[in-house]
This record gives sequence, C-alpha cells and structure tokens, in this order.
Amino acid sequence: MRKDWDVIVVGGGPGGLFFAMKAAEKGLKVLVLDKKQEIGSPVRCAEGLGIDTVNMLVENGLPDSEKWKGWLVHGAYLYAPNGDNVYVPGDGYVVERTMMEKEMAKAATRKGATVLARHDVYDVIKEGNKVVGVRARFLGEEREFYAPLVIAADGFESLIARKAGLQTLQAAYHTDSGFEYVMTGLNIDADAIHLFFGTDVAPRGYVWIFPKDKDTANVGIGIDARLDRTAKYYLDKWIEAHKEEYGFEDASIIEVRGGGIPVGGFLKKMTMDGLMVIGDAAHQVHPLHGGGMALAMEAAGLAAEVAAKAFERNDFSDRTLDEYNKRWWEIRGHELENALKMRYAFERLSDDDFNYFAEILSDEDILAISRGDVDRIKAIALKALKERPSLALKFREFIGDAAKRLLG
Amino acid sequence: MPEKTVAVWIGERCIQCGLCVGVCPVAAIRLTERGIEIDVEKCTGCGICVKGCPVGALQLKKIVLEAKRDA
Repeated sequence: MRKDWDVIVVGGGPGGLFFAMKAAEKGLKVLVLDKKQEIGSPVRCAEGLGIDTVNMLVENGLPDSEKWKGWLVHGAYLYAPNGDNVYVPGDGYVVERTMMEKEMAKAATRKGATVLARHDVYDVIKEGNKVVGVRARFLGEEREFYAPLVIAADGFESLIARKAGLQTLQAAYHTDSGFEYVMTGLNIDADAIHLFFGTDVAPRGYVWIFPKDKDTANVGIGIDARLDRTAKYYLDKWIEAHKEEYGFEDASIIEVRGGGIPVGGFLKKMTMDGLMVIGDAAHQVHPLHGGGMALAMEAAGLAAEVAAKAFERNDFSDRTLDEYNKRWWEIRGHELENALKMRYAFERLSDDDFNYFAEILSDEDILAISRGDVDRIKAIALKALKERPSLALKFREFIGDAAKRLLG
Repeated sequence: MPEKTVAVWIGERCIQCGLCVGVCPVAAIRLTERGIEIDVEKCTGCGICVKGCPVGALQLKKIVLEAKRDA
C-alpha cells in the first residue's frame, strides 16, 4: 500500500485544524485538505466561543491577539416574547473566524502539518472495507492522497463519511436552518450577547445578536428546517419589528451567511476501518444553543489521541478506533443526550411558558439547563408544574413518573 | 418522454451554505466551486432541501428526462 501521509483530514474548520495541531504535536505527518478558496471563509457561524476554549487555543499556539479572538462579552441576555429577560453572566468572545482558522492553520503548520486550500475532496479510496485515501480536485487537476487514517471533518455536509459507508445523514428533524447578517451602525449593548425566544420569533430556535464591536454584530436566526417559511423570512420579520430599538433602520449589511445546524441525531458510531468523523460532520453540536466549535475541538483532541495510539500499534481497524466512540460518549455523549431531551421540552413551550420561565428562572438555572443537569431540570420542572400543570406533558422526558404521581 | 419531479437550484438566491447537501437523504447534492450541483438521476424530489434552505434557493420542478442514447 502506498503511504504518502500518516493522516489526511478532510475539512479545515475548527475541528479538522485542531486535530491537525494535536496530531502533528504527537509527531504524525498530517495533511489537511479544504475545498474552500480561503481557509476560514465563508463563515457559516454566529462566532460565539467561551473564554475557556479561547484560552485553550492560545495555550496551543495561537497568538494572544484580538485579531482572531475578536470581541469580549461578559454575559448573555435571554429575552422572552413579552420582552422580560434573564441575564446570565459569563465571559466569552465573538471570534473572527476567518482569522481564527487562518491562525489555526498557521499553528498546525508550525507544528509540522500541511494545509492545502481549494482541494475539493469528492471521494474516498478504499481497499476492501478499509479507507486508505481520498480523491480531490485542485483547480481542475485530479489528485490522489494516501494515508492509513482519514479524518472526516467536512462539516454539516458530511459527504466523506457517507461516501465511505458510514451513516451520517443529518435528519431534517434534527436540523436547524440558520441565516445571519453581519450588520454595522447598530445601537446595541455590546457587552453581552442577546438571544430572543418565541414561537413566532424563531420556531424551535432563537434570534441572536452577537456583538463584534460597539456597533457591529452578527444578527442571525436558527429555526426548525422543516418549516415552509425560510430562516431569512423569520429574521427579516423580526428585524423589521425591532428596527427602531436596535438601529436596524440605518444599519449596513456587510456580510450575509447561512448554514445547517445539527441539533440532535447523535452518532453512536463515528468510526470505521481507517476513518474517524469529527465535528459537525458527526453532529457534535449542542442541541439547545446550537454551538459546535468547542465540541468539535474537544472531539478532535480525543481523536488525535486515539490516532496516536493507532500508530503505536500500527492498527487502524475500527476496533482500535472505537476508543474514540467510547470516550466521546463517556465525556460528552450522555450530556448532549440530556440536552436533546431538553430541546424536545423547549420545542413544546408556548409564548406564555417562555414568559413564565423568564420570570422564575435564575441565571444558575439557565446554566444548569444548558449543561444538561438532569436533577436540576427535574427540580425546576416539578416546581413549575405546580403552577402550570400543562408543563407536565412538555417536560415528560424528565418528570414522567414524578408528574404522574403529582397529578394523580 | 419520462417526467420526474426534482429539486432545482436558483443560483441568484444561493448563499452557498451547504445545508441542502447535508440533509439530502440520497447524497444527490454537492457544493462545488461552480455552486450547487444536483444529480437529477439520484434526486427523489422529496423536498427536504427545499424546506431547509434558509433563503429559498431551491424549488421542486417537474422535468423531462432526456432519453438515454444507446451506446
């Protein structure tokens, strides 16, 4: 078998590039292929990233620079349909992804990896059931690359794993449709991110304002992808209704973005002989808030450790790579399943319910909910249930038995 | 001439976000440097991509399949 590289990574987003950084550190010869014209662009993201992940990237060799870290915020306002809000403190950045991914590509290269843009991988090369390489097009030229291990980090599209024979199709039921404007000239409180909830505002999702500087922000929306109306329709409607409040009237649109967001349908199996899937391609996204960058990088770190072990043993079989599945499910998988149950409850809430929760929830409750803290969610739901019995059915995944007892 | 309902791409509305690619149950859609390419042979006309598209850049249309020429 020809072996040109140790590992080929398909997709140079946060997951693929972080894998390259970590695997190169372990001495592996890593090649990252990305079909985009420019690493980091176009952006399909609201760009929010917790301070811990930002610091982690600096510790891993990215410059400690606002050029990619972007704009620091200190918390989040969550707004109910009636305008009431809850403030949840917590530092984070609205990063500049076009710069972040370029810095990640530079860091990976300094560690010994190679990144090639505009390489459109359209197929995998297999020997029997084993993935041994990929076929790519580079400016009209056909190219083949061989390695005993391929990492599918090709984002929401997730065609590489599917080509190889792993079922990673994103079910429409577990997909949110995302649309976003980068707007400037806004009148916003730029010290926090702002999330707006409501059944008319954004069915199943929310509208967000993520500041990029004092008067510039990502203004976007995520909604259930199965709706007849488009995400753009809902966002434009909301912007029109709030044009005076946030200065949308006189604002400029400097970029238009969109994308699919996997908000469920987690994969038990993300490996096969010679292949691991990470990030959006493996649906590693938080089903409540739709954030995926931190999870993709966490998965990438795990996958890099498993890859290093596979090289020590010179064994790239599914059985060896299975450690990645196991550890992911131990560390994050179950937590995400709980957050998914919370998404189901969330989908059933009426505008009245949202208004009610804005009244009763503390910032710590909200953090516990987003962590998927089942005990805390149960306690909140049982308390709420006494005042609003209709919530019993809506929170059935959490309080099934307890609710039945309570309601006789 | 056989007719078939398939997804059709409206390039001028497209923001090239790739959502349609990820949700296509038969992997009939690809995002290339030329934009969205839909394999009409594979497309089943299920409409999932049409509903999911954030900007309405896909539509279902009835098309007439060209008769296959004998080699």
